[in-house]
Amino acid sequence: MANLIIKYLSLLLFTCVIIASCKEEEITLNNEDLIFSNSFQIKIPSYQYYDSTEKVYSVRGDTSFQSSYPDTLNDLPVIAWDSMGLRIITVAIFTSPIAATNNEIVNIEDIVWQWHSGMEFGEEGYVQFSDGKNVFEGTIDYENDPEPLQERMYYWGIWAWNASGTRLLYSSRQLEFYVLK
Amino acid sequence: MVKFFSQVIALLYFSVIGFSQVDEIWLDSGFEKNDSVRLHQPLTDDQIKEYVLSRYTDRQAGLIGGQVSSIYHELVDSAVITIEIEGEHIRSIVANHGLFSLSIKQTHKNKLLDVTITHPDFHSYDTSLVFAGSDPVVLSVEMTPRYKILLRGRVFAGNVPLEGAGVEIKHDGKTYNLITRGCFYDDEDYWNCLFDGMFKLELTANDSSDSIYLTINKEGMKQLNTGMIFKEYKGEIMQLKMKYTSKLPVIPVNNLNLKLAFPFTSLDNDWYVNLTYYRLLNKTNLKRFAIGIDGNMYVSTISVSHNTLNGLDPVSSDSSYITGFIGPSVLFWLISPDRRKFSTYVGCTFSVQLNKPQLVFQPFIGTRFFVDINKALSLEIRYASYDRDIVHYNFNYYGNAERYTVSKHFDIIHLNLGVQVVF
Repeated sequence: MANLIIKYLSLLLFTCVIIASCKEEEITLNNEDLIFSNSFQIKIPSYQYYDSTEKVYSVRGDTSFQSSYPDTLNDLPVIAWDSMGLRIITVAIFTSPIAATNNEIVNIEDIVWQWHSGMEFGEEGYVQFSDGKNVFEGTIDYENDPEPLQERMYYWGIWAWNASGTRLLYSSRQLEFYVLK
Repeated sequence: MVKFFSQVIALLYFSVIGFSQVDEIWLDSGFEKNDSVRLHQPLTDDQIKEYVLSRYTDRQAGLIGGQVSSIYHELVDSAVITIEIEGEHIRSIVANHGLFSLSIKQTHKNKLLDVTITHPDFHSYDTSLVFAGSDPVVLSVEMTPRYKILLRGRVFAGNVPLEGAGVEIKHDGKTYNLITRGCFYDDEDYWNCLFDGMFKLELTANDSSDSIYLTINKEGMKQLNTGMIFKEYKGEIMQLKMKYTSKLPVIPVNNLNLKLAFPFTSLDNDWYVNLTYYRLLNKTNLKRFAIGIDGNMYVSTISVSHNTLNGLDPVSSDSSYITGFIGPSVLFWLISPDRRKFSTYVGCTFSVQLNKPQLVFQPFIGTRFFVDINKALSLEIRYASYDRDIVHYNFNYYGNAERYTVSKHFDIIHLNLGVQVVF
């Protein structure tokens, strides 16, 4: 009996030492098509939405990469994507292509509109333009309602963090649309 | 083709015939093969008479011959047949496979012969006859066996077979000293532990009420005395469990420890692993002091809280930290280390933290219990006070969170469980 206890204890101690010496493996991804290459993909399906005059706008989503022309949308676009149940997630519209290095966006000053999961309205997977806020010089204007977009080319994307908000773990492709007034 | 198969079948047939062998032992000279009988079967009266007559070649001398068997109708080999006349020894012979024959000179004609048949496993058989001298005398003797047992036992220390234990067996005025067996390489070169800790002895007695006394001794164990009556022994392997003495036979000098604390035995929910070696100072004045080296580590999970997106509740992030220490250690035995139970000690380790340059003082108090001759379990309470850098995070809306470290002080008390090997 005593020897059995000794054997099991030794095995337990050995296992503990092994576990203690293990280090969490860093996940390395290589999705070059996404905003952040070292992340999992947030998929954007093709969808349609209606404006106040019942006019239909189509967003081709991830498939729009197969053509050379952008989607044409109104000045209050609706953003939709496949919900993944992510708690810390954000969507932003840029005036120029999104530039990211070392898992960080560098052209923050090009952001004109942004929505994130901490805002009062909107839900993960479907956000109307009015649910988000304007951004000026990299700062979100929480006080005022968003101004409609100007007629020009825009670029947008979605990214999200892990549950503890320490690592950017998900992102979408960068998509583009033209606002026609 | 048919010829070829016929040849193969014929070859197989003769091979089978050639390699077939009947496992029989035939009696030696004096019998033709046709008259043979199996070794273990006693002969019939006619066969005995035939055997004796076959040995009657010297007509000038008389002959006494016959068979010795047991009451269970088994031949008794190597029985000694002795013939005396008026107290004078005439001849002796050893029966071969239960059969014997010996010639008697004609000068002993008409005299009374005392025939004694002895065998260590049987009661002696005595008879007398008048030697007529003319025809061979045919004897068929049935001997009554004495009581015989094969006394077998296995000696244990706890549940572990104990080899090298001295077993003293007293019976019928005789003393037999045995040593229990250990493992060994058998004839097939296997490490055989089938008889580990076992002893055996064949005992024979005239009286089934004889007593048998066993005394078992082993260094570091209490003497074990047991006994039985001859007829009580049923042939089983006796399980003889020895108990340890309260003190070790030799004070162990070297001590190797492996200790572990679980989150539920720590005030800070830490895991703890420790490996230490101590050597007892075998000096008269310092015989309770031991010095050694102590390497240990704490595995701590620290949770930090930080804000993320505006409007979301703060989140927490868990990180595991391994904090290692190594350094010299000194230990003092409050209760003598030769005791098997509750050998209590105090000590301290002057260690260096491996993560950052810091001297850490780790006092401890513990006790140990031996589970066998050189292995023990220990319980120890230990305190450690040290600083270590903890990672915190600043949330970044546009990338990974920014990491920064804050030094935190830890005062840790835990109870650890250890395994010790002494030598």
